[in-house]
Amino acid sequence: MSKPRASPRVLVADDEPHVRQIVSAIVRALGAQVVAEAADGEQAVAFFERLRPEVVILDINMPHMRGDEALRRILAIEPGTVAIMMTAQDTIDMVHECLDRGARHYILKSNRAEEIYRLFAEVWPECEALVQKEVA
Amino acid sequence: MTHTLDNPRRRAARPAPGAQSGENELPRYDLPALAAEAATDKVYDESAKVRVTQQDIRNLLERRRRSHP
Repeated sequence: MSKPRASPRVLVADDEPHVRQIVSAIVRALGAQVVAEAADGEQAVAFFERLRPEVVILDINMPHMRGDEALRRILAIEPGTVAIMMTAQDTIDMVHECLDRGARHYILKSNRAEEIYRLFAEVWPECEALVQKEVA
Repeated sequence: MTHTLDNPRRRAARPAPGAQSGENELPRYDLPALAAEAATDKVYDESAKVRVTQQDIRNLLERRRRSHP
């Protein structure tokens, strides 16, 4: 009998509470555990240092510290972290910058809710595989 | 030989041809040339912010993963 697979632990960072709620609901529906919700980049880094989740979902335009800076700091602490950017920033420069910094995925908030769910569902097996690889 | 940078805005800011430059006259500029230059600047600014769709991002991610597996 195979050992039950541990579900990834996820940190969600967005300054809009309703977006955090939606993203957390999607993540839970995909079988993962949301360990913390942060309202800005500083909080995200602080939660990350304390809880060390395997996956972080980051907005970019947040007060105090932007998501792209939080991404840089989080990956400096733990380079194996799976980072997904979810943002309204749709410029090619920002996409390149985040991918260059180590983000694995980039999801636009301008997508409809069901499309956002579909995109998370699409990238989730890869996130789980990366997390398993890190744990092994 | 002296090399100078030809700045189109400066060129447009020269007095328009035929303009008289009397002591009490306000400076006159080649407004159509300035407007054309401003339009070029706008095009440049927009080009620096190319917007992408989710499909563009998907294609970009695939390309990057193929080149850096």
